[in-house]
Amino acid sequence: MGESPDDIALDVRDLRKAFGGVRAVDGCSFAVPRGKISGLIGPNGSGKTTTFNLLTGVAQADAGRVLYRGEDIAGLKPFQVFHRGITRTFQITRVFREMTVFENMLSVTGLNVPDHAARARAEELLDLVNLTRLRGEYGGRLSYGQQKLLEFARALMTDPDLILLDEPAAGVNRTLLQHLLDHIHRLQEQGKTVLIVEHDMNVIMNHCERIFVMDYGVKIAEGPPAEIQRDERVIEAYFGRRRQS
Amino acid sequence: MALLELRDVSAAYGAIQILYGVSLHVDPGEVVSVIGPNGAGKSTAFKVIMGFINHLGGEIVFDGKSLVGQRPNRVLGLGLGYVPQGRVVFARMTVRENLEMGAYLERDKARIQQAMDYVFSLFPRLGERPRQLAGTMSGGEQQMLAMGRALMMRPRMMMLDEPSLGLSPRFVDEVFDKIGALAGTGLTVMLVEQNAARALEISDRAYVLELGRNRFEGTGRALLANPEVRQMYLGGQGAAAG
Repeated sequence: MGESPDDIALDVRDLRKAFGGVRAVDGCSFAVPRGKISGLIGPNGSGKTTTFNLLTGVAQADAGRVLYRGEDIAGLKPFQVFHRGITRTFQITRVFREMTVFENMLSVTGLNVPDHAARARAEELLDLVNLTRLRGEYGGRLSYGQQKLLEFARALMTDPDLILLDEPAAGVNRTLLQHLLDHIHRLQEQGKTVLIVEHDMNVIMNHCERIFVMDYGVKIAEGPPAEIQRDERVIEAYFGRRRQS
Repeated sequence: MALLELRDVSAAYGAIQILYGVSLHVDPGEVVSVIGPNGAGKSTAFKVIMGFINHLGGEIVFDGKSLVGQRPNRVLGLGLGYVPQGRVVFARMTVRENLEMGAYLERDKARIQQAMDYVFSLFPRLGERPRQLAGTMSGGEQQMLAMGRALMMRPRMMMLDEPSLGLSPRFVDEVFDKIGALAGTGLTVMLVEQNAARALEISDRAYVLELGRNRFEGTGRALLANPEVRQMYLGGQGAAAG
């Protein structure tokens, strides 16, 4: 199967996925460092969200491997990935619209946690994202920003080891975003691994230790923020290329 | 006098404010680009001009008339054409039917036919297959069709939202060629583009937005040469540090 070093939480090797004739992910490889906050960026349509979907079983890869704790998790179903300690949030939020906020929190506790512990944890996490006063509100009645916060809190219910966040900043007000980022750092201090897809460059550049850049379905660069910001290929991917001919 | 002018325009999607006092103008016959990183408010600026979303404040004047509070069909009727992002052709309609939809405000059959002949002369590939279903065309062809459809009302000015988005490099060249050709006929053009380099190359002037506000403006050439503009796309801090 191929071993990954201990300091790698997730080892993505030559991942591929086509939709019809469009090769959304076209041989993408990167290694997510364990216990750190990393960012996955790229222009619109570069394949970031598809990659997230392949890592979490939401979509099936055509080829390639995703090594997590020595196991290839490519091809597993979303719940199987989840039970291995990986959770994610979605760019388009997926809260249960006809459950209350609190019920949403408890909906993911199909695990070996005593009920009172799950409730206590739900309370604590809701407090963290300032949703306590909305605990009885239906998910479908929350604003987009509030749904994102609920999804974030819900993702933490299972105490995952690896947390994938798809555009956590979009639609969330600045104060709450700061709150959320503080918590992401706390998760990292506890030894968790975080991978963020995000368009807000200030979030990425100020909070990620390592950044992977995708364009046209492949990784075109990786490194620390200061290096990425000066990388000509990255600038070109975002700013466009002048006419070649 | 400017053909289109925005003065201090603010706008929102529902409760989320996106534009905070944006000003810009387009003179007759100009090609003007609006660029900026994701979330800058580029497409939103187009949507508030067309009357699709909430206008919170500021003036929008086209050809001497205020567009504030006008519905999209009225804006089209005033001579402002619009090509939406993602092409949005009617997939189950033929090329000809799509073009007819573009002229839905026009009742004179002869004028519709005239406009269609004009579109076919600009886009010969559409003229070769008027009966093809739009949904079976390539992305680049659909973009041509969407542009043709916007031309059916014979607008004085055309706004294109991300014309190169999702197109293969070959079609990107072709779309920019067509935009250049349209500008050559005297049509006033304003475009929003994520491919800033290509947009600036064909633009007389451009505006750079960031987080819903004006950040830079200048000639296409000057903005292409400005490293600060390029650096903006990857966050501000690096520019200072670098």
